[in-house]
Amino acid sequence: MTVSNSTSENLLEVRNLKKYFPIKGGLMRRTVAQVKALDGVSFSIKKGETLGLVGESGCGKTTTGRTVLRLIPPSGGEVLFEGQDVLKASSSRMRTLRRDMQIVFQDPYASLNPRIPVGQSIAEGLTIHNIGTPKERLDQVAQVLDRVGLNSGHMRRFPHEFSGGQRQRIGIARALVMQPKLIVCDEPVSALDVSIQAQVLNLLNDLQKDLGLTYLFIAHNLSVVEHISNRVGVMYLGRMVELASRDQLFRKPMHPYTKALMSAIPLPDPTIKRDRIILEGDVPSPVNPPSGCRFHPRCWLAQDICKHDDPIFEEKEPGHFVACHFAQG
Amino acid sequence: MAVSTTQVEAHEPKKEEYERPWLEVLKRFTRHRFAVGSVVVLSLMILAVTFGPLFMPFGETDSAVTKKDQPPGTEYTLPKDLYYNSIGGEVRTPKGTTLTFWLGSDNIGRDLLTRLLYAGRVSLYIAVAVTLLSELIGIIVGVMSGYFGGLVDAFAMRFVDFLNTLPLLPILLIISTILEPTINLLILILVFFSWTGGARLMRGQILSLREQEYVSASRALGASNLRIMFRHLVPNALAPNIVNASLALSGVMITEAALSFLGFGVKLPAASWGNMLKGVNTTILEKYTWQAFFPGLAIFICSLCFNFIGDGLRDALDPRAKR
Repeated sequence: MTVSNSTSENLLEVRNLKKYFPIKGGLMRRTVAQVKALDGVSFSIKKGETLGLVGESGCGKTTTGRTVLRLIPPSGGEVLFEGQDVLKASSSRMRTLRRDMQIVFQDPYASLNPRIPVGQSIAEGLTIHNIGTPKERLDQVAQVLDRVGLNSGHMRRFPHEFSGGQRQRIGIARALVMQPKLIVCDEPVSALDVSIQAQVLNLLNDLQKDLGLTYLFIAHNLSVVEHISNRVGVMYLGRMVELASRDQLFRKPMHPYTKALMSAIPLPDPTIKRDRIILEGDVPSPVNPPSGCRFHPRCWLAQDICKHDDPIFEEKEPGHFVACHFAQG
Repeated sequence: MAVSTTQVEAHEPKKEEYERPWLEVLKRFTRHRFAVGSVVVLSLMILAVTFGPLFMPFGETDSAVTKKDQPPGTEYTLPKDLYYNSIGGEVRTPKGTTLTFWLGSDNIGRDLLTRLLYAGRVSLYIAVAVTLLSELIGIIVGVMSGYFGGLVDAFAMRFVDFLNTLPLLPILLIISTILEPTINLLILILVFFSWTGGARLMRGQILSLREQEYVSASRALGASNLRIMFRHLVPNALAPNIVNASLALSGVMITEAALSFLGFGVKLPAASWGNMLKGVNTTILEKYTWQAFFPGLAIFICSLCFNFIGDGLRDALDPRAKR
C-alpha cells in the first residue's frame, strides 16, 4: 500500500492490518467461514496529531483500535509504534509499550469495575508497573483527577456514584495517569448527552494541547470528528476508503461513500436545500464481501471494472488517499 | 412498624453516607427476616456444639448399660462403682450423683443430648470444610476455564461432565472397603465429587464478564492474566457461588448423613448426626422415636437455616433488587 511516507515523526504506523474472526461450526467446531472485520487497513499518525476514524457500525473502526493496542490478536499486518512492531513484541516488551499506549472506551458504565473505588481503578496502571510509592500514586491520582475536572475527594467513591460524563472523565484519568503518548479514543462521547459530549471533547482537546498527546479518535459522528481531528479516515467494510486532512475531506470528499456520509450530516438550518445521497441496500456481510470494490453494489458510479478490480488506495492529491476507480473532487 | 421505618429511610438517604457495595448487600440481607433468624439459630447451634459438650456430665461414648433406650427425661443415679465423664482422665462427676437423660438414651445407654452435641461438631465441620474447599476449587477451575477458553475450557468442562456421571454411592462403597475411612478422607472424597457445580457457575459468570470493557481497560494497562482474573473477574462473579455455597452446605450435611446412615461415613463410636440415625428401623421409630427424632431434627433445622441464608443472600446479592 502506498501510505508509507515513513518518516520518524510518525508515532504510529499501521500497515495492511488484518483481523479475521473465525466462525466455528459443525461437529468438530471447524472454522467454516471468517468475518473479515479488517482487511488490509493502513494509516499513520504523526506525533501530536489526531486521526479521526469514521464509518458505520460494523466497518471495523473499533476492531482497528483494539488490534492496534493488541487487545485482540491480529490476523496479519504491522503496527509500528515509534518504529517498534507492537504485534511482534515479547510480553515483557509489551508491558512497557502499554504504558505509552492507552485507550478510552465508549461505554462509561462498563469500563469501570463496579466493585473497585475509582481512585484504585485510576491507580491500577501505576500499581501494575510499580511506579512510585503508594503515597506518590495517591498524589498522582489526585493530580490527574484534578486535571480532568474532578477532585481528589472523589477517589474513594465507587463508579455507580458518578454520572456518565463523570465516569468518562474517570476513564480518561485512568489513561492519563500513565502519561501515555498515544490514546485510542474508542467512541468516547457516543454514549453521552450532547452537552456532555462537548465538555469531554474540549477536555480531550485541552489535554492534547497541554500534554502533546496523540489521538486515534474513533467515532461514527462526523461532526464530532470534524471538531477534534487533524486528519480523517473513512472506513467501509473492513477497508480504509478515504484518508485526508480534515479540510480536504470535508470540503472535497472524493470517494462516493464519503460523499454519501457527508450528505447525511444534519444541518442546523432547515431552509438550506441540498441533495441528499441515499444509498441503496444494506452493508454487505463481511463474511462474504463483494468482489472488486467493496462498495460497488451500493455505488451510483459503479461500472464493470468496479466488480472485478479492487481499487488501489492511492494518493490522488497531496495527502489525500482514496480507494476508488472514479474518485473525483 | 419495621416496614414503615425502612420506607422512610429509603426516601431520605443521608447524603454523606457512601453506599458501599457490601454494606448495601448487608442492608438488603437484614430485610430478609427468615435469613436473619436462620443466622441467629445457626450461631446458637454452633455455640452449643462447640462449647456444650464441656458442660455435659456425660462423655461422648459413656454408656449406662442398665439404661438402654430410655425416653427423654429419665433420671439416672450413678452407681457406687462408676465415675462418669472421664475426659482426659479427669473425674468430674462424683459417684452417686443423679443425672438426667434430657433427650433420652440410645440403644447402649449413651446420653442422646451429649452425643447430639458431639455429632454436631463433626457434621458441621464436614459440611463447612467440604463446601469451602469445593467452592475454592470450583472457583479456580471455573475462572481458568471461562477466562482462557479453548482447550483449557474443553478439558476442564469434559472432566466436570465426567465427574458428574460418576455415581457417588457405589464409589464410596468401594473406597470405604479399600481405605480406612477417616473424617478428613471423607471430606476429600466429598470435595472431589462436589466442586463441579461451583466451577460451572463461575465459568458461566466469567464468560459474560470477560467481555466487559473494564477487563480490556485493565489489559491495556498491562495487567497480567492472574490480576485480571482474581482482581476484576472473581469479585464480580462471586455472588452466585456464595449462594451456591450456602445451599451446598445443607446438601453436604444431608449427603454425610446419608453416607453415615449407610455406614460409609463417620465411623462409630464417634458420633455424627448421620450415623446417629444409623440402624433406625420400624421398631425404633415405633418404640424409641426420640432416638431418630432428635438427630433428624438437628439435620432438618441446620439445612433449613442454610437454605434460608442462601435465599437471603441470593436476594441481597442480586444487583437488580436495589431496594
